[in-house]
Amino acid sequence: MSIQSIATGRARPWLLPAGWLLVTAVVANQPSLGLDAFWTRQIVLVCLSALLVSGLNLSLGWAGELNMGLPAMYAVGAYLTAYLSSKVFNDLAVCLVLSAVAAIVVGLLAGVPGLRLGGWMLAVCTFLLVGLIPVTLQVIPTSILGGQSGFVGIPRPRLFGHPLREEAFYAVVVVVTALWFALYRNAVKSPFGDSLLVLQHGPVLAPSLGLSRYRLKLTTYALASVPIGVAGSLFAYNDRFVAPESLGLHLILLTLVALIIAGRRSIYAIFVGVVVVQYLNNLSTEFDEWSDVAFGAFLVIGGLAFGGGIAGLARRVARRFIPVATAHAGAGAGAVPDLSGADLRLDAVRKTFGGVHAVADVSLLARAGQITALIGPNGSGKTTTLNLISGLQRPTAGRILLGDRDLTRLPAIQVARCGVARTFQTPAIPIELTVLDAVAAGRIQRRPISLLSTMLRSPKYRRVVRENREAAAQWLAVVGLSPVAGEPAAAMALGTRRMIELARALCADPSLLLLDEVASGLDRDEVEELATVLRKVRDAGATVILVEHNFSLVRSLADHVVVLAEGAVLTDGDPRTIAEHPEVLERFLGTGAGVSGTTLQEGRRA
Amino acid sequence: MSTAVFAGLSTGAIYTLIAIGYNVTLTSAGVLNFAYANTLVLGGFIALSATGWGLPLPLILLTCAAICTLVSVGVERAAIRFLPSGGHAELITTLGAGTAITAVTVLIWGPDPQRLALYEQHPIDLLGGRVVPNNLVLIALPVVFGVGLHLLIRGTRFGLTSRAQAFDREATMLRGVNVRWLSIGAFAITGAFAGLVGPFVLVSTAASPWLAITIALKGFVVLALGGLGSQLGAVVAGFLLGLVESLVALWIGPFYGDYSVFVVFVLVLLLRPQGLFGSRRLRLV
Repeated sequence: MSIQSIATGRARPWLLPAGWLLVTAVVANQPSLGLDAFWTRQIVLVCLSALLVSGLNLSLGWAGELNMGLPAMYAVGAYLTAYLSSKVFNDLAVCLVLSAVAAIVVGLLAGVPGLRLGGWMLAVCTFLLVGLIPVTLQVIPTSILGGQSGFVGIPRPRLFGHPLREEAFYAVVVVVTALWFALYRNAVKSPFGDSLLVLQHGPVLAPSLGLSRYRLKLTTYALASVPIGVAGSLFAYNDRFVAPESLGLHLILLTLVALIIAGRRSIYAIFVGVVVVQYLNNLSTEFDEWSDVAFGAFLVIGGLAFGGGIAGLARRVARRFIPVATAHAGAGAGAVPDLSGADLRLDAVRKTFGGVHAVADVSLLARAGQITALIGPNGSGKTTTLNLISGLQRPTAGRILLGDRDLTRLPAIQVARCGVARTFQTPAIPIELTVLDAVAAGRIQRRPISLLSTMLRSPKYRRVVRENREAAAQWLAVVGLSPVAGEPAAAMALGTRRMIELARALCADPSLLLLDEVASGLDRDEVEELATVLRKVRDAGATVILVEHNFSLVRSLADHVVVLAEGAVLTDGDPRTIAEHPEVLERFLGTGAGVSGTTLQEGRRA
Repeated sequence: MSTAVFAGLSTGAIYTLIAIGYNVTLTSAGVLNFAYANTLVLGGFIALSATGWGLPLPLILLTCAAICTLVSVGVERAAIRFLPSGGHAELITTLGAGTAITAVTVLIWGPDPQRLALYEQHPIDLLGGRVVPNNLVLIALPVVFGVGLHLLIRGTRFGLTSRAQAFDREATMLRGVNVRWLSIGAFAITGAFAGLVGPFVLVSTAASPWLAITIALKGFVVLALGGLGSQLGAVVAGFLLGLVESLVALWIGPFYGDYSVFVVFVLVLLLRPQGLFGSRRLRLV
């Protein structure tokens, strides 16, 4: 398998758009094929609910935050369209666009204060907004929005000056829904969607890849408002009547139930979820009192098991029929591109927690094109030092310089963008990404693509994504993981996940690479491979800092060793000197250095 | 003016009663039980039936407390016990449990608001305003229970383990504390609490099943304003929010009370996310 073929991914890329176009064309033409009013209405309602569920899925499934403000955004779209079309200017396209914009504004109103804290805070903040709908309708004069009794007299829609007949409006609803789902699919099946999966992994990984959690969430949140506002607008035109009763808690519950059935981060399965809920809802007019009990109970069960839903089930079935590659080729196949390293200088860096000095006045110099090992017993401040360099923690005093750049006070995102990449003691691999995409995630911040470009699959988007995937494929070849490029990354064995993390860090073209116990848990062969890769990386010019317990590996790899003890530098020098340093021997190497780890040949420089 | 102050204090008291309940499960079980407000309203409705049977007041309250305890423990078993760690699943499950409880309430007692009377209510003049005795009871309740629960948390083994759990759940488990029982205990306590105070709340507001969602949300605002985990904060913040809402409604217009609650919440989120009395340690994320 060549690097190109790994990077390109799926064969027959035209199949999906063509299929979607066909489905849309068939469904949009149904009235002429003889659907009665009942079924036409059912399909319109399915489309509207699907728009709502996709909005909720973006915020809950992809951004991981429950947005209860859905009825508020829906109401804004509906009322704006009602008002504009009956009193100002009746044009469907204008109303759709303005409703989407208004929904974004309202969504952000509750989202901006709530998103930073997230969780319950966001849920309640947006929920309060829903409580303001009836109040607002009473504050605004009845002559404008119709007050509590609802808005009547919405005209039939017009589009570019032409009145739309029943069938034409139906077709518009179907086409708009299909179009949105295409955009939604493009938005999430992209580096943008990948970075949202990175986000789900927790608070540390995203910033260390240079991705801003808050910005990502806010963008997703704004995007999630669009289909909700659009659905509100279409709803007003469809019913030609908007009543406040339909805009409450019940709407959230129905949407939530449909989403749980469809599955977290689902796309097409949303339609299945919506159809199921609509069927139940049509039934429940017969035993109305019980429906809320059932929906409540379903949320309890579904909330506990919220996961793949229908979409996950389909994926699992599909996976059974696709052969799984497990072969593991040896490392060293690919060529390593040049990495422009920069010297890292720590100048009397200190970190105190309360009164404890975790790191006390550490000064060190890590040169470009060299591997600097940081060794020391547990609790000697190695990982803290790495965290201080990568910006995850702020030093209490001292200076950190990368080349000429001062990293001392920079947050992790900025540090990552300066070309610092790292791995973690426990490999941080986001779920649902393939090995290739997990590695390419290291590059997302290097070439930002606008969300609009992403959704429209612009030429720039295609070029950037192709280049990123090629780079990722090249690094996969270097670490010997090409055969598993298309497999789910999080399900790999520990050793493989360490290699994926290493490849991801390298894929960012770092000038400084920080490795936190990258060899722990690897077997002998894997350690050999790792050593080969790291030598290549060093020779390519990168600055490498290696925190390691395996002294044999350190001896074989490092050009320079810094020994930490109780937060301070005990001594430093080349590996051979360190190995004979009496205090180091006594403090933690013991007499039999190399016994604890895998014995490796001493390093050779190419 | 004084009348509005009394009205504000008594609605504020209701919000505090909700926030106090949230706080107990939050510290002892590490979860926010959104269904608590629905349980409290259910308690009030049970009192409605119990008065119909002609029971004396203490027995009515006992009945409410007993049934609500069972319901609350049921919520813990169904919606909390099997929660996956991390994530916001409790948001959905307790919302679902609350929906189900309210739906059952509607099934039994009907959707329309009813009047609940536990004892004679003659408005009395006090400090230049008029107030019904129940509202005075309502204002006293959070103070009494706030102090009571504060003592429970500070002075008992249950409280000690709860605080330990809130500080570090894993370490507490390793010390041999059964955090599962802690969780059940917390839900039982809040259930009993909901049953005891629910009737007084519904006397003041009129018994409507849909009340739950409103007080659930405003109770949460009080929780955030007072600071997560702080019973003292909940008492102060509750009265404060009730007063703000009532006075805004008096001075600006009856519909603006709800806006003021939203504005207060947004300000808390932006300016003081840890609340008035909260520590940064207990976080809802």
